[in-house]
Parts: sequence; structure tokens; C-alpha cells
Amino acid sequence: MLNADLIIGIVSLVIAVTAWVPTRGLTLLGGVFVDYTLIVLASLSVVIVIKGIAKPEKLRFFESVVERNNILIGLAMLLVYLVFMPKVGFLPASYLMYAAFNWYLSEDRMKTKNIIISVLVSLVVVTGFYLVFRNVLGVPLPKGSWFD
Amino acid sequence: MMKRVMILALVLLLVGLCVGPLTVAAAGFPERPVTYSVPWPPGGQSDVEARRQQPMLEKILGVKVIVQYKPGGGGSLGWSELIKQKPDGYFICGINIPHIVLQPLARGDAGYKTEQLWPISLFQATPIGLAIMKDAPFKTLEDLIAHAKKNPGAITCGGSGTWSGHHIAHLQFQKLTGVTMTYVPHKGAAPQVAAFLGGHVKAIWGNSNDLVTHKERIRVLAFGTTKRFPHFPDTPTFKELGVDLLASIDRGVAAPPGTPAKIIKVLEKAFLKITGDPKVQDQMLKEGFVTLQMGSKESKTYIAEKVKVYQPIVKEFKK
Amino acid sequence: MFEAAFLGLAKVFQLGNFFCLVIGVIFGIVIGALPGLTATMGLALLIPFTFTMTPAMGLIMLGGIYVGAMYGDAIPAVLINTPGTPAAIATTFDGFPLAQKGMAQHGLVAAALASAYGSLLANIVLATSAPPLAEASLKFGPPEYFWLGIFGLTIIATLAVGSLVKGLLAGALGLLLSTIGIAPIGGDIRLTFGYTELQGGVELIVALIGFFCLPEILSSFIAKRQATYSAEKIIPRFSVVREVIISLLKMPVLMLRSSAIGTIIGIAPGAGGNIASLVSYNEAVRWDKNPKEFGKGTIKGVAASEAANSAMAPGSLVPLLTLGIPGSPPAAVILGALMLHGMRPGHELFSTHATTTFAFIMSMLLAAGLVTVIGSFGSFLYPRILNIPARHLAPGIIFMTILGSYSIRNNILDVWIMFLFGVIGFISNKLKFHPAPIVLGLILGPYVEEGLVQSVLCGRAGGSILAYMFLRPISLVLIALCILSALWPLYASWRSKGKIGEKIL
Repeated sequence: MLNADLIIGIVSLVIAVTAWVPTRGLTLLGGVFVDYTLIVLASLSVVIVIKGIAKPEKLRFFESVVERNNILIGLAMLLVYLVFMPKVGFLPASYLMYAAFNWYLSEDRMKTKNIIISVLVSLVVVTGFYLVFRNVLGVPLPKGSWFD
Repeated sequence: MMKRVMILALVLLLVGLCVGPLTVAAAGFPERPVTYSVPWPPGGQSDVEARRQQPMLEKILGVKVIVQYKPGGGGSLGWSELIKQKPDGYFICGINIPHIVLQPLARGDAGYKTEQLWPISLFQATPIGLAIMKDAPFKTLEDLIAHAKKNPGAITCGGSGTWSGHHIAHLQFQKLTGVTMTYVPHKGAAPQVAAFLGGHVKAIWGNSNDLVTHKERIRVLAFGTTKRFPHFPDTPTFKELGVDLLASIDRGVAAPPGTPAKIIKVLEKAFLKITGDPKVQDQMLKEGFVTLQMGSKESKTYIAEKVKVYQPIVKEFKK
Repeated sequence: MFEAAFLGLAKVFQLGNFFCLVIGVIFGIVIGALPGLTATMGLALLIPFTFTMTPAMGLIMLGGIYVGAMYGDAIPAVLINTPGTPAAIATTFDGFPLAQKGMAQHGLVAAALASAYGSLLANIVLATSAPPLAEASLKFGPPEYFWLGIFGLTIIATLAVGSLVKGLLAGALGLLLSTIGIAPIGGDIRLTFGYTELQGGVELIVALIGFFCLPEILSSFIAKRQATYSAEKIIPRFSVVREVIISLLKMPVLMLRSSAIGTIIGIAPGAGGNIASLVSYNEAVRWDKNPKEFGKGTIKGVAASEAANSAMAPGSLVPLLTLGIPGSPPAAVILGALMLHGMRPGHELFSTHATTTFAFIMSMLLAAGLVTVIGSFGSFLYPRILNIPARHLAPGIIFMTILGSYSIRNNILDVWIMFLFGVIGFISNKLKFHPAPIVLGLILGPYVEEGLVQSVLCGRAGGSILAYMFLRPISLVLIALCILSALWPLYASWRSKGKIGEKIL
């Protein structure tokens, strides 16, 4: 059970302080807006913190352990993808990411049919998007792919 | 006798093997598409120039030229990317003077150093002129200076960006004439011109092409060139009026540090061919620009000079 | 003028030109529909192709792209809660709830028709009154932009579902985010924490995808393992098109007002079309008899937003064609195209090149019609995308948004920022702290800051800063609007006889 207002208020206050410190050396004109914004931010954070203490409204963050696990796994997969993309190569990493998500979100994960579908759809979709963005639309894309 | 012939043949072979790859390397460049990076959002003048050059470069170099954008930080993101690229000639980037000189001086860490950008050629100059509206109370630069002396800070001058060509021109002008005016930076040439035409700033450090576009409504007091600017034959240069000020924004291209001289030569030749074309020169002049035909060495010297001139100014005014 | 208009129209109907118009509109719709690819980029991508064309053909195609993109961005806004370009932010507010109710087709048809309407009206304004309007737009100076920015911030009152203070807090966070990078005045490096990559600041569309798209995917598909994007299966029907047309005909004031707002904001150089849809949406809520309907899925919200952002496009061309000052980033690209074809903005465009210029304007009028047709037919096709099972669709969307985020500035940092904002957006939503005002702060921060600091500089030079910022005619009007807008929630809750303090804290 979390006190949402308290968390929001405290986090905002921390952000304000974190932004206050490195901006003390700014020129007058470069810093005036930042200063005003930080003052407003800090004041409002304090108001919210007070409200959080005075009239706490508790809420559940995750409705169930299953939900929490799902989110954490999903985020982990994305994080791994982003971290390893430059090392493994954009296209290979994307194939893996798509196949992984496709398989993870499927109903019956243990069936081989589903695994094969995940891999095949991944190849088709990722390659398709990539070709369209790169060759048809001429848009720059991350390096590290076999086609480079 | 045969032995000498054999030795001669061997020596020739060895020499050929050493020199051969070098010529092949230079003769081989370029074999793949070349990427021309523009460190600004699409639609700006640097983009227009790149697009103008693109078909001509493709014809001269014989390979595709891909124009791509890397905006941000007033060009610094594009230039910090350039220095990290492989120095094989397949990635070049548009550069702007004085930006590449002023940013490292003013920002401390701009992500690159001026010397790390190896210029290939400078191809366009945009002289900067100081202009006022036609219905303003002063008619000459002397009038303006007199007015500014009596009312320090009262005259607002619009410019594009801080620590940019306009800003530096303003600072230099103040130093040389002893007056104080207020510099009002804007996010680009378009907002700067809009603010000036709307009367929100009294004067403008304008780019020559913008000044030409709005010729009818404005009066240019002076240009920061060595010779009078053709579109405004009646407007004196700062130098003529006793103010030793040269102000312009120049555009060119550069390669990553360490690019072999032979490769730079190939690219340099291509750009010089483009700017040597009278059709291109006409087009640029019509739009209000001046064609530059500076090669790699000349550009390097030019940039180094600018560094020497700007360093003390930035130091003095950076609080 | 009518003669030139007629000649221009005839030119558009030449076979090659018309073909390019259709291609342009379709390309524009696709670009607008792919989040991360903006109209600006779409125009820039096609400029090289216009080299081989006559100026008229090239401009006609570019006009088609611009108009197409201003409709296309509504498609992902409605279907996956992701504005295809920042101009469509407000379309998500009611568009996505419509899709969730199974009424995606309603949303898409409304978007198409409203886009066409707004585009049509604004083009007529452009064709008839461009020069005087452009002159009037020059009167907007630093104080005016400042107050316009503040007025924009009062929209938080509408966006802050539940708590006004928390909405303002989110807005302040957005303002702070907008300061990351190089200070527009002063040139300082701010809040980059040593990362030179951050000198470019936070890119808006990336933040949008992060805050709007990812949390939805995370909470619906990953968390709840929802099988498809909307609870009900989408079955497009022809009667929907008729229904929407009739509904829109019943709200002429809303359509007119939204288009007017879009046109005016487009005309003000640099005001940014991104806020056109937001201001229009806000006004639609303010003047409606049943404001509570907004946010839960009503065609009114979609229409208000789309009419405005489509009207903004021709509006931004007003100062461009007459003074050479682009009113928006896509207009800046079109300026580049004009320069490359040797056409200088100014009275020259309307005299020497009159036929080409009017061909350009007429092409946008026709493009509005094309959007109506393509959009209505498309509404049968696109919503079916939502019927695709999540396991295929969700990672597809993730991949597409990653491609889009990277391509906007050619920068892998933007993909990371998108991910980070996605996580933050997800957490915020869970804590009942809606991130929409953060986006508003991010958009408006630069205007408010630039307006403020420039006003200080000019005011100081003129004698009195306060006099400069407060005592100008347009500023006074804007200040009055700001006060009215800020106090409105108090008035609204008093009118509905609720407790005044209820929605504030």
C-alpha cells in the first residue's frame, strides 16, 4: 500500500534539488527561467507532501504478484535489448527481441508450434519494417546490422 | 647482364607493389556511397546548400551521396559525431564558422575541439550587416553610434543565437566603438527577422540573404565585408567607416581527424568544381550569398585566424 | 486573384501534377502515421525527388505530404494512444478512449473529416488574405509569446484529471525538462550532467512516445496479458461514416472555432503547431454543455484537435509565402524547397510565380478532399489492426517506435530517453499522476523562457520591463485570457454546484 502523494512529492523535491545544484553557475539570462521553475517545482512538491501526510490516499501499485512479475520481465527484456543492441547488431538484436516478446505473450508457451510461429513472424515483421524504413523511406537506422 | 635485368625488374616490382596500393586507394575512393551529415534540422540554409550540392557531387564522385541530419546543440551534436567517425572519407559533415570556433571556446566542453574538424572546403559566405528599419530616426552608422553613446543599452539588436556570428559581431562592434547596445538573441534567422520587421528590436545583425529578401523595408548601415556587397552598392563596409569589423557566417564541409590527405584532395576537388561553376555562383549571388572557393589548406588557415581573433573576445565577455 | 487561382487549379489537374499530389498525400499519411517520423522529416526526405520536377509539381507534392501528415498523425493517436506527430497530442485524449470502447472507426472518420475541414478553411484564408495577415502576425513580439505560453500552461487545468496542484507540478517538471540542453539566451550548457549528447535537449516526439505509447503497452499487454488492444472486436461498418458526418454537421461552432484557432496559431511565426490542437481541445471542453464527456471518448474531442492541427498547416504558410518567415518546422523545409527552385518568398511569389503559387495552394485544397476520401475508406482498414493478437502487435509497435525514435535525430540516446520516459510514464499512471501536463511543460517551456528573457532584455533597454511586458495591446488581451483561463476551473465547479476545493487538491 503506497502513499502516492507522498512519493510524488518527495521524488519531485529530490528532482528539484538535483537540478538546483549544477545550475548555480549559470549566467543571469541562462539561469533566470531555471530558477523560477525550480522554485515553483519545489513549492508545489512541498504542498503535495503535506497533503500526502495530512490526507493520505493509499493505493496498490501492482494489483497482483502476477502483474508485477509480468511487468518486470517485460521491462527486463526491453532493457537487455537496448543494452546489447550496439554489441550484437541492430538487426539480430531486434529479431531476438521481437521473437522473445511474441513468444512471451503467447497463450501456450510450451507448445513448439508457438515457438516456431514466434521466430517466423519475427523474421517477417522485423525485416519488413527495417526494409521499409531504410530503403523505401530512406530513414537512418542504427548501425550494427548485417546489411551494412 | 641477366642478373642486372633481374635485379632491376625486382626493384621495379617492389616499388610498384608499394606505390600501387596507394594509387589504388586514392583512385578507388569513393567506391561506396558517401554520407553528408547536416548538423541542423532540415530546411535550414546548410540543408539547402547540401541539397544543391548533392546531385553535382554524385556526378563528380560517381557514387550516391546520402544527406542525413544530426541536429542539436547548435551543431555541436553533429560535430561531436563527426570526430568519432572512421577517417576514410565516407562520412563528411557540414561546418559553420564561427560556430565551430566559438562553441569550444565558450562552452568548455562542446563535445569536440575546433582542430579535430579537418576542413575540406569552405564554399559559402553569408556576410553580416547591421540594419535598421527605413523609418528609423538614424540614417547612417555614425548616427547610430551617436545615439547609442547618449543612451547606453537602449538600442536593441536582434541576432541569432548566443556565442554565434551575430553575437560576436555585436561584441566586437561594442568594443571597437565604445558603445553599449543590448543584444537580443533568437532561436534562428527566421525569428530574428520576424522580430526585427515587427519592430520588437530596433536593429538587426542580419544575414545577407535575409537582408536582400527584405531590401525594400530596411536600411543597411554597414556590412562586415572587405569589399562592398553587390546587392547593396551604396552601403559602406564597416572598415570604410573606420570600424575594423569583419563579420560573416561561413559554410563548408569537414572530415574526421586523421583522414588521409589524398582522400581529402578528392573531396576538395569535387567541392571546388561545384563552386567554380558559374551557374552555382550566379544562384548563390541571386539569393544573397557570396561563393567561397577555399580549399583544405586555405580553410585551415582561415579557421586558425578566427580562433586567434575570437579567443580574447570570448575570454573577456564570458562571465 | 481569382484568375490566378483558376489557372493554378487547372495546373493541379494536369496528369503528372495530380499524380504527384496523390502520391504526396499517401506518403504524407504514412509518414504522419508512423510515430517518430514527423511531417518535417517526410518533407525533407522527398525534397531530392523534387529536383527533377518542375517547381509546380514539386510544390504540389510537398503540399500533399503536409496535408496528409496532418491527418495521418491521428491514426496511431486513435489506435494506439500515440500521436503520430506532436501536433496530434490532443487527439489521443478522446481518440484512444473511443478505440477502447470499440468505436475506433468513429474516431478515424471524425479525424479525417475534421482534418479536411480545417485544412479547407485555412487554405481559403491563405489564398485570400495572406499578406495582411502576415503583417499582423509580425506584431507578435517577446511579451506576446510569453503570455501565449502562459495561456498554454493554463490548459493544465483541463488536462489535470483530478488534482490541479498535481497537474501544475507535472507542468513544472515539464518546464524543467525543457531547459536541458543549451540555454537559448546565455548559451549555457544546462543539466547535461556531463553527457555531451544531452546538449541537444529532450526531443519532444520521443518523450511523447515514451509517455503515451509505452505505458499503454506495458499495462495492457504485458501486465494484464490483454489479448487485443481494445476490449471489443472492431467491425467497421459503412453506417459509421454516415453517423459521424451527421454528428459533425451538428457541431458547426466547434468545427469553426477549432479551425480558426489552428489557423491563427499557425500564422504566428514560431508559435508552434504543436499547441494548436491542445488549445483547440481546451476551448472545446470549455465551451461545451457537457464537458464531462471529454476524455472518455467523444468525437468532439477528436474533431476539435484534428481540425486545429490541420488548419495550422496552411496557416504556417501565410508568413512563409509573404515574408519568407516559416511559421512551423515543416514550413521551413518548404522554404528550402522554394529557395532551391529559385522562388523567393514575397510579392514575387504572388506576381511572377502566381500560377505556381496558387497551384500549390489549390493542391492543398484538393489534398483536403483526398484526405476525406482516403481517410473514410481507410477507416475500414486501419481499425482492423487492433484485431491483431497482442503477441504480434505489441512487439511490432515497440519495434516501430524504436525505429521512429532513432530516426528523428539519428541518435541512439533518443531511444533510451523513450524507454526511460516509458517507465516513468507507467509508474506515474500507476500513482494516479497523469503525465500529459509534463508534455505540455516540455512543449511550452522554450516559448515561455524565450519570451520572458527576451522581454527582460528589450524591456530593460526601453526603460521599464514591467511596462514592456504588460502594457501592449495584444499582451493585454492575452493576459486577460490567461486570467480567465486560470480561474475557469473555479467558475466551472461553482457552476456545477460542486465543492470548489474538490478538484484543486
